Amino acid sequence: METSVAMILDDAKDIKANGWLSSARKKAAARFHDSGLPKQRDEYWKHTDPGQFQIGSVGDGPATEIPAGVPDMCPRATFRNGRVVELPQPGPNVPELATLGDAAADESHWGAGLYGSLEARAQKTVVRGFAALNTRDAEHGILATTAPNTKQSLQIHYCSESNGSKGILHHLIRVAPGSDLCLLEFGSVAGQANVVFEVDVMDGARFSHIRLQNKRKGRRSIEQVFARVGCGSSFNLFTLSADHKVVRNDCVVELLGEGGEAHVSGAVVGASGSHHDDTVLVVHDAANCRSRQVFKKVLSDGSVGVFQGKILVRNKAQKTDGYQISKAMLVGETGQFLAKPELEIYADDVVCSHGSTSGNADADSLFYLRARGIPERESLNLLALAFLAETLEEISDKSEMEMIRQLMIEHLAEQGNVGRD
Amino acid sequence: MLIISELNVKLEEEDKVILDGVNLSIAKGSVHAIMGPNGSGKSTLSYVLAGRNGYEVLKGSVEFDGRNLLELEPEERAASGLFLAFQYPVEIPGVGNMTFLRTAYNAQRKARGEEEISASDFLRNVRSKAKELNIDDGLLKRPVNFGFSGGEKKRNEILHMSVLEPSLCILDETDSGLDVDAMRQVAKGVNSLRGPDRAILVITHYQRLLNYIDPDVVHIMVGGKIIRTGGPELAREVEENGYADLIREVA
Ligand SMILES: Nc1ncnc2c1ncn2[C@@H]1O[C@H](COP(=O)(O)OP(=O)(O)O)[C@@H](O)[C@H]1O
Ligand SMILES: [Mg+2]
Repeated sequence: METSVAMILDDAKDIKANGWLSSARKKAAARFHDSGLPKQRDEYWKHTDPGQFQIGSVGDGPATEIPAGVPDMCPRATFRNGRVVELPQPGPNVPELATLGDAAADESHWGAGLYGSLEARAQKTVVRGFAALNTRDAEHGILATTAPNTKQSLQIHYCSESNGSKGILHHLIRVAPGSDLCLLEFGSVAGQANVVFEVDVMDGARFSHIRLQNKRKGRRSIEQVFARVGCGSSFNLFTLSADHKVVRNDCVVELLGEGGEAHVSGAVVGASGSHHDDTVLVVHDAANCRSRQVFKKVLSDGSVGVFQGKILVRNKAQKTDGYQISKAMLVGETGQFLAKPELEIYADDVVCSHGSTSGNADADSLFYLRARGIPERESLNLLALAFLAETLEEISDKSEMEMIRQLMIEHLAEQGNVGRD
Repeated sequence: MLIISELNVKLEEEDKVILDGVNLSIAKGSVHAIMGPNGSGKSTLSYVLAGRNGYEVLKGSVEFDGRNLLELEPEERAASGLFLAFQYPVEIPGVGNMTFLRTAYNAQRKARGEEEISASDFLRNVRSKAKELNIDDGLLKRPVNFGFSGGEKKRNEILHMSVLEPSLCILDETDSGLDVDAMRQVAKGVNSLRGPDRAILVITHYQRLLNYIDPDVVHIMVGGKIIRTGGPELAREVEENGYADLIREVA
């Protein structure tokens, strides 16, 4: 463990930039100095060994493919081997975009002061070494802001060719008052990736973020989203995760204005040997906010699913409506689901509920399908799809919902082939 | 077509023998009925034939079209022509009735080395059969049996059977919970499947379904054994006198 930390430190670049980025990095360096990297004995790392995110060479093939169903006619930013190679043309439907390098050269860039600050806020509840390290070291990323009262969209596509590559990306997203931003993120940053999104959803705005964490065989990543949500705004994050070695998704959403909403949800198709960790913290810090966390994982033999979800309700957050559910369907006997649901409530007039279940597919249903002639594996896939499909209700856009449903079918079918070999 | 010899079955989990030497032969083109009091082992027999887990065959054999049925997986039994209309059709939220039926149909064809049918031809076929059975189009789009009424579930079983066109149809208490109109529709569906290449086994507690589906042979099952076999008059005897007399005769 100590040696791998040293490896990362040796790799760290000198902070060359001047101005706001330099100062953001210096603050992050100080945070990282205090926190260091997490250890497996740390509270939120018991089920996922943090050491695996610092292993050198991983991955078993280039990741350049675009998942089936991703719409083509959408503004797209492309990263290749951890660097931006293409940004979309400006247009009325495209948020204003800058690379981290270009933004840093502009002393009056809107990102000055905001960059790094949401990550820093998130450190106050739980120390997050990987995130501080990311802010300190990231050299690439994009800064995107919508114009007020517009409806805009963006895709981010990561391609990476080198198996043993490492990538640290840090993005900053600002959704201006009254605007609506749809973000679709897909691809693989690197064999070993550390990604941070900071998202500022301003008053009356709406942010929808879909992540396709697939087509990443053998790869490891830690992906963190730190969001704050203003008055009457909504934050929506949906993650489809399959085809991984290890992924750790950390999401922190703070509801800071009245009437805000946070939906954090995800579906996992866990192949044998994969490890999928979703760790979510929703902080209610204003009255009349609503939050939902909905996670479902289909776990094959030899795969691990982790869900650590917390609803924290601060004392002024009266009339909070918080909901959390996590379920696993085990296909076979040796899949593992490790769930840690938490509620911490300091206001008295709130409604919060949480639940977690794990088990095999229903035996009566399975027999019914087979007795009509559907082979066992295919029957299990039908039941698994039905199980995962419940999460699709968390997605409001019908075409995105259908795209993800098709990807679920594709990944479940791949599992079938693996199972038969 | 189906030859059951000396079939003895116990529960896997408990030392409880449920089928205690069942002998039954069903020829192509015939309709058989098994009647018997509750708990006599009728459903167990149908489950064992369809290949459900949880039972242990202690003795005996089942031959279906010359093959050892007990060796086959449930899906192989279905593909080779066996169909069980469940006493309690299972609700499966999230799986559409039509999707399920098409998947089953194509899986069976594939297993038999036949080509898949086009989605539109299939849809047309299902629609026309649903209409004959008075099944609302809406039920085809809903999840399998989910929130269906008792009668809708039973008619849906008959729809699956009509579409899959099995060579051996086993109906386990398909009449229970049906009103007279629904029973007529179910019987019409079953009768339309009667033919020289198909056998039908109707399991029932009451005689009333047999007023609509004329059996060639009637068996009485008690305590995991077939205690009497006869013609349709045997069913009427049960209707008039109940099972008590028959049981006393054997004892
Ligand atoms: N899974 C089971 N566990 C315990 N008892 C069972 C089980 N299945 C069947 N039985 C028992 O076996 C007997 C026959 O049941 P069943 O085949 O359902 O009868 P029928 O369909 O004729 O009413 C009954 O006594 C029933 O309680
Ligand atoms: Mg029964």
